[in-house]
Parts: sequence; C-alpha cells; structure tokens
Amino acid sequence: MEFLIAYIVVIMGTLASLGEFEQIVLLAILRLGEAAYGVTIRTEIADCTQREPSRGALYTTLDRLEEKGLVQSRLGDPTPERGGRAKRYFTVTKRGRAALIQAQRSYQSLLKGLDLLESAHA
Amino acid sequence: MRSASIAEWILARFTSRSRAASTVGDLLEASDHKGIVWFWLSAVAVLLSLAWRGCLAFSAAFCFGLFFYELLPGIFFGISETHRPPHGWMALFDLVCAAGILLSFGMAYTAIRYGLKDPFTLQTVTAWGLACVFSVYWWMPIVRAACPLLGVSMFVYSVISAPRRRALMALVVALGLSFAGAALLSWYVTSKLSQISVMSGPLHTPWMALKQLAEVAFLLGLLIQPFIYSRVHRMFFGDNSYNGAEHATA
Repeated sequence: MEFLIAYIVVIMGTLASLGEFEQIVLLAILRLGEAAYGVTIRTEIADCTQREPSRGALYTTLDRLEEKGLVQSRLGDPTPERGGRAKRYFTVTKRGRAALIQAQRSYQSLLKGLDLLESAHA
Repeated sequence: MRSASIAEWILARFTSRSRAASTVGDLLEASDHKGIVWFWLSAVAVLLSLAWRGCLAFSAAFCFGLFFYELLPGIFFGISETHRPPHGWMALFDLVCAAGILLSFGMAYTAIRYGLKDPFTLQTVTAWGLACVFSVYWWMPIVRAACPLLGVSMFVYSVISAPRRRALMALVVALGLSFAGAALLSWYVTSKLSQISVMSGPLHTPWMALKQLAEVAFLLGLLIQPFIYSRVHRMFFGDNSYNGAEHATA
C-alpha cells in the first residue's frame, strides 16, 4: 500500500522534497506515535541522533511540514504545568509518509554497492 | 506566569495565536526548575527563527526597491531624450516604468520570504523582469513586440492552472494596492498641506514645500510595498512564511 501511495504521489508530481532535518522530524514523529508534540519530539531527536536540535529550527520545521501537508496537528487538553496551555500533537499524513519513503529509498539507492556501514562497524 | 503571557503575545505577532500558545506551553514544560532566564533565552531563540526571514526580506526589499527607484527612471528618461516614443504612448511607458519600480520591492520581498518556488514569487519575478526590460529597451522594436507577447503568454499560462491563476490574481491585487498606496498617500499629504497653507496663510515657499512633502509621501508609499505583498500573500495563500527555508539545520 505504501509503495502505491508513493508511486501515485510521484506520478502526480506533487511529492515534496525533504531536507535532512525534515526527515529527522518526520521519523521522530512516527516513532512517538500518539505522543508526538514539541517537547517529546525534541527529546526523541536528541536521544536518537546525539544532538539537540535548536527549538527555533524545530518549531519552524514543524510549521513548514504542516503547511506542506506532510504532518497534521491537533490540540490536546490544557495542563497546569504548561500554564493552562494545550499541547499540539503531530501525526504524519499519508503524503508525509510517501515523501519520507521516497527520500529514504533515494538514500538506499545511493548506499547500494557501498560497504559504508560494514566498514564503520569493522 | 506573567512573563509567559508576554512571550506568547510577542510570538503571536509572528505566528498564529494557537501555535504561539502551544510553543510557550512547551517552553514552560521544559523550563521546569531551569528558571526564567532559560525560558526567555529559549523564547528569544524561537522568536528569532520565526522572524529572521521576514526581517531580512523587508530590509532587502527596501534596499533593492530604492535602488531601482533611483536607477530605472534615470535610464528610462535618459533614453526618452534620444529616442522619441511613438506619439501618445509615453503615458503607457511611464506606467510600465512605475510598475517596474513597484514590482522591484515586491520581487525582492517575495523571493526571500516565500522562496523562488512560490507561485506568487514566480509571477512577481516574471512581471518585474518584463517591466524592467521594457522600460530600458522599449526603443528596440523587437522588445516592443516580444515583451507584450511574453506578457500575454504568461497570462495564458497562468490562467490554465488553478494555483497559477490564484497567484496571478494575487499579483494584480498587490500591484493595484501598490499603485493606490503610493499615489493615495502622496495625494493625501498634498491635500492636507494645501489645507494647512490655506488656513495659516502662504508658506515661505509653499509649492516647493508641498512638492517635497508629496515626494516624501510617495517614498513612504514605496516603503509600505513589502507590507502589501505580505498581506496579499497571506490573503491568497495563508500564512505560508517558511516555504523558502527548505533546509533548517539542527
């Protein structure tokens, strides 16, 4: 099914090209599932990549991904520790998933034939 | 926390109210035990990343636009002295030159703020290019034929696709507001000054002062051009402020 979505989106010429950080953010949202909001996304990226993204870059990237239709957000309930402000939860859309698959497939094509990962482990 | 409300209000100037609220909520949650200094440093970092593109676009639009405000009429009228325009066409050529000047503000602003892939930017850049080429090379018959032809082609190409049609409409509205903004502001100041000179007697050199102030008003009209393009883009395409920043780095 995912292949079909990716294929249709590419054929229609509407596939958004993804930057490196956009891919990282999309992957973090996918890993977090229902619990993906600003704080957890940043923590997940920091845990997995060993580098802390700047808050500014993260929020502008999330806004941009939403404007491109690659993620969608919904507001949760307000909580006291946030001064009564709601969390904005993010989920990856079908279009975002297709763009991510396409981007990852490009990486894999480039890696094919290289023993980059094996030589790194050696 | 009072400072959180202030930070939220400031952030809401650059993004939507709900996004500002959730961002400040995230900062409050993360700033537990880290103190108010950490909170404000983080808020400023978010603010800078939201605002830098807009600030840069405004500054570049002023510089680029004022440069063309000086350059284009000089070339245009310089050529007009050596090459006589066809009878009755001078007003139209003037109008195209003025459009080229006004579009140079919008072109620089939209290119930086929304990126070159944005349909509104593409329309603005194309129209600006055509207006400038025509203003400088109108005396060449091939340019007098090619520019209108390209303009018509651009119109037809825009009309057949919905996003491009919307971008064309946005450009027409922006250009209309640009002309109205620059012209109406100078007209307003001129009329106000006329009233003042009537009520308080003739000024020392009333017409000279009037003329100078009308020019200042016209310049102010030029300076509001980026605001016009910003508003028109938001009106037609929503608050799409970050399209150009494809590769934000961590």
